[in-house]
Amino acid sequence: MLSSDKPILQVQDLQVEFHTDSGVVQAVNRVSFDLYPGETLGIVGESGSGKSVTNLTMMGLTPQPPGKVVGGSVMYDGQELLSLNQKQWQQVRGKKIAMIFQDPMTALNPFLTVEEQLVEVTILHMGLNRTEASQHAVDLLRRVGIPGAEKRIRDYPHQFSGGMRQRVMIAMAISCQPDILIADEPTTALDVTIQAQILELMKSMQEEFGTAIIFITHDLGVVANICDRVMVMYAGRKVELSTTMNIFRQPRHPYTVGLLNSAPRWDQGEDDLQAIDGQPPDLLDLPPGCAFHPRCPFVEDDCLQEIPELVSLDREMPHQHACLRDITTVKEDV
Amino acid sequence: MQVLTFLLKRFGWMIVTVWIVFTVSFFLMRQIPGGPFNGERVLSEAVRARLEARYNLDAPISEQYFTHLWNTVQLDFGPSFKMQDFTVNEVLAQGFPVSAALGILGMVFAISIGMTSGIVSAVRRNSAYDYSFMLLATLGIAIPNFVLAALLIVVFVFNLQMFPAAGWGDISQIILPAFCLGAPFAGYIARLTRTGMLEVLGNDYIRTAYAKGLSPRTVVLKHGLRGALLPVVSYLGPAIAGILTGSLVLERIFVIPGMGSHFIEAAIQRDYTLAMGALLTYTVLLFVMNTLVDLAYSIIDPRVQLE
Repeated sequence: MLSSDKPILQVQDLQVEFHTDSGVVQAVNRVSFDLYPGETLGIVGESGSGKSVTNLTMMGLTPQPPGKVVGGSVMYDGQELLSLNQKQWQQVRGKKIAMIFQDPMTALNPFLTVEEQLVEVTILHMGLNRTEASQHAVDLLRRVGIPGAEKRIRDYPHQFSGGMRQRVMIAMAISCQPDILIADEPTTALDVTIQAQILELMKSMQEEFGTAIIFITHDLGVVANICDRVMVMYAGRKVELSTTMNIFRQPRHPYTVGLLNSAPRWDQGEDDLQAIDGQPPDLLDLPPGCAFHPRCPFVEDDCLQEIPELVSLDREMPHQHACLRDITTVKEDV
Repeated sequence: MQVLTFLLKRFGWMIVTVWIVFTVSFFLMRQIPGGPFNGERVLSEAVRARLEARYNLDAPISEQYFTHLWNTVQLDFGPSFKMQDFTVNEVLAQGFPVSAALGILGMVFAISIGMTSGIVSAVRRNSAYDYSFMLLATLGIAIPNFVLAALLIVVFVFNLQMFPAAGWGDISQIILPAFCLGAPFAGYIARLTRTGMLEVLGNDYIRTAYAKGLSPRTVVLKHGLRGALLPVVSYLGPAIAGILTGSLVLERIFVIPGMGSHFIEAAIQRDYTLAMGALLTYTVLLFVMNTLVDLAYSIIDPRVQLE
């Protein structure tokens, strides 16, 4: 679980803007968090909440233009990532920080064999020769549970099923034993049964290599299954960060409460599902004050005036949230 | 195995196509007014009859058709009506390599110039390179090759005196015509490569490639180029047909003893056998090229199945 080690990644006040034709979007607005070795941090939020942009920025992959990192810092292992040049980034990507993408159908190159796509990483970062890299690739495929790995390695991505392709992606991501693995909704495009298998696989890989995982998702079931801590994002801001246990037991931001209420649970009937009122915010035209106030059941006048600062509660576990109300006292009425 | 069946099938279709082309052009040509022996000098009946008998033109048309077909099957196109003392096979054997050299060099120009500028334009999108290459590409497509040829002759032959104006046999004599021949196709290929590359570079797997730590160069050339090649490869079939017709004109301008001049003159002078020989050669050539294009397509894209 949460170790007392130094964080392996420290994100401080990260600010990313997108300059579009209709205006400037604050995609990521002063987001800070730490990632500790071996832990799994979930990042939860709606589409457009800034979770994917946050993570692309940590890989130096925000499309620029229109994206622009305006401020903040991303420290990895004593190194400021945001000031790296192209060459230095290449030493980090795939080697220290690797990424798994949402849709395994499109994330693998259809024109190259799986082998070619696996070996190019290890030849590049681990200095293996072709034969060693091939052998290593077969081992990896076996480890991620692809039957007949020696033969399948010569196949092209279209000859694999979706779940198998995601296994290939995972094999590719862990091939250089990175310190950090960023998984951007890796199970969203898969069948539920396959989802469970992929999550199990990621857990076992994490145990084996001690990789820290950032898990982007909007599926709270997945969060409960795999994450040690959760960061909730809304309209580019961090609105709550705590341990998974705390988030589920005692959420302190109304948005988190809304997310929890809108997720199906085994101990509640379908009728108890409550959608969050209203629409996700228009990032070009954010509401004044707390961006969530138009949809918030606890809204009062000051919510429209003031952007809530993050409040840190230091109980047995650090818990941060950005809300002017203390909703734990009124929660039962909802 | 799959490739073999594919090639056999294609070969079968080629035979059918060649036969249809043969039949249609055989009868069409004889429908056109005038014959090989109509000239300014009016021949006496006796001479004409002897000539027609010599070339088997007095036989019933069906007999002529089958004789000619049988000879063609044996790859014997018969004697040329106009270029006496030469068989059509000899004329083709002399002209074809010349046209082929010109066409291949034109294609090499088109592919190398077109793909390079297309890739650069896509990677440096909206840069000065992009705009100037695309402007040149549009010009290349818009300017007819005989106009381009005239311009190049003025500049490179008369002003700079770098190349000879016409003729055949020397490397320096092939550069200008091959360039004129390739220019419009270079333009098309540049635009196709740019569009294809831009589309491919927006794909998820390109982001994956960057996330692996590959250099931009590797990403573009290894992960991007194959996908970007597909539209170019599909275009090569029609492009080769265009190169063939384009070279008819350019061979005239640069006085190149290729097949083009024979083809045109044979048709004008009703040299039945020579026109037929040239036509069938072009048919086979186009068929072979299109088959090669399909093969290349399946090699580049493993998802494509040969049928």
